[in-house]
Amino acid sequence: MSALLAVRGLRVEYRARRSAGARFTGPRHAATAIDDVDLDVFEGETLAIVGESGAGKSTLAEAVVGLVRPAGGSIRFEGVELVGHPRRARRRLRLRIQMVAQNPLLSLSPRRRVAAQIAEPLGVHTRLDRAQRSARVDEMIATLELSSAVRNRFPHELSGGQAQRVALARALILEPSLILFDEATSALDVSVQAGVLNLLRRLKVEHELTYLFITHDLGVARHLADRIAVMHQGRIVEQQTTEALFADPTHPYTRSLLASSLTA
Amino acid sequence: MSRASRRGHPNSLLAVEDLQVTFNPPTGPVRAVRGVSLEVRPGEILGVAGESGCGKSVLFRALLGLCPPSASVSGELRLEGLPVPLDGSLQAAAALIQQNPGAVLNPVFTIGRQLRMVARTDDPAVLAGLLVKAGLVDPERLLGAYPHEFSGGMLQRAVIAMALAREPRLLIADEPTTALDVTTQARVLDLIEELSRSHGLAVVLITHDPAVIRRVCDRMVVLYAGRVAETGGTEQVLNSPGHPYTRALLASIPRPETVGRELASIPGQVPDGRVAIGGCAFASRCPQARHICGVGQPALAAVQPGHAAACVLVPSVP
Repeated sequence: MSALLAVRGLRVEYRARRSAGARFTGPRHAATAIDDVDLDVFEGETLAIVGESGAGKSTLAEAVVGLVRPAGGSIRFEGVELVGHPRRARRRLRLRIQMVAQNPLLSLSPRRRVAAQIAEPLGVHTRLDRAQRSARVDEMIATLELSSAVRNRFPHELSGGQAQRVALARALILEPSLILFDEATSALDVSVQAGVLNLLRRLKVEHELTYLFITHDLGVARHLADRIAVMHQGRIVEQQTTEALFADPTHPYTRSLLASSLTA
Repeated sequence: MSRASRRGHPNSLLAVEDLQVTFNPPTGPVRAVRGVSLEVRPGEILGVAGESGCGKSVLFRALLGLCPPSASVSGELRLEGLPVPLDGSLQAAAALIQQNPGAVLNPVFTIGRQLRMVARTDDPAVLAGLLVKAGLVDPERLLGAYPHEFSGGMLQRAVIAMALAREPRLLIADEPTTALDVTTQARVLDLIEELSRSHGLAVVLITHDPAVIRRVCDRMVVLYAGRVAETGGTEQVLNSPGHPYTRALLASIPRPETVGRELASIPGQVPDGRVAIGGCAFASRCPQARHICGVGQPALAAVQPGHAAACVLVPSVP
């Protein structure tokens, strides 16, 4: 079985500040955010990436959607190499890979109504007319279990759970095959998170989706994921099926992560 | 619950009676806290749980006199039995730490300078001692460092050091570990527990995460829509919750047993503080609601000694 997303030897560097002695003129240091990452995401699975802040989880997601340019390595999506072929890569990416971020109030525009924001990707990528776009928006609102009253609201008038559903509707409307979630339920109350997690499970089956789910919450990862990759200091230190990871963590870092996590 | 026990434990450190907080924006009054009575005992760690918007933070900000002047605050506050006005006087005895330590500290002053302003001393040994008490190593170097040179966990420790500088009787920690990684969270909770156990500091720990409460709290209070839904020992409340809201909240957390299953989410939302609530505030979302729930606000009823829930069904639930 070939992977939907295959990452090989991926390396991302950020240019950091110049050395302390010559703040404005000295050479810049490069900070390696992720280093030599190999990762396969297979069609129809949910792969969770767990680890602490600074481990490189978000950078990995940003490299996959093309928000940062890798310093080396390869990212193949549906068999097409994305690194080093920016134009072709970007066109393909934007349709088939979507991302949902942690804070919907930052990822949605505060000045546009919900319906216009959900429809926006259709205006950019398709030739649907106004009535067809509107019909698709209604479909998405129903799919996401939102009331049709949210159509004409602004993001600040929504609850946290509603706003995150709107962000998800916007990601789903182009019928992607892969969705990247970057701490997408971390800012929600547990009671609201439960509803969103249930919805994600249902959507995945109904829309034949593949999920890459970044989270620091091991309970959420365990609940949702088929496999889990543990990142630490820019590298993947362990990659296992969910069951095996919790039953028999091999890397010392995974063990300390499991030991620190609290249960209610 | 008897009148006497509502007045507080005979030797309670802090006793709050019928606290009400109403905000008065131009669009009409919003009742954020609707009559809360609770007590904090000396040296204990009291957990305060509830969803966003249930009034957890507003309650303690009102006690500290930190609500905007336009808000109406009423109720009775006693510190070791003596009445304290709700005008900020409690700040002399209680310190507040918040979720985001980076927002509390000034980025252009060193940690040492900011600590000096609170501690009102220039003695570097005293300042270093405060950092050590908050679990930071190499305090002399850290006094000269700026906030951006600290990690998230170190910043929260620096803020705890500032809170300790005034030798408070009570530490109010509002989501102190929510922004931290799991391993850092565990260490900061260890510190809070250690400060309480070895220095006799009473702590109020406000959090939305029941797991955090189980880890360190002796007793807990569950707030819903600005009222106390349930209160009792941590084990009592988490292991045998008496209020349907507490049960629903606990059931919505992913656990090993829920793998591959639907989680129990709570339908609907916390009622809006602008709307008057006739009966039980949770009735509209409660799976066990019946006719009687719409009539009058339920009082706290004993589930077990020291454990009470504000639900009309409590006496009939074994």
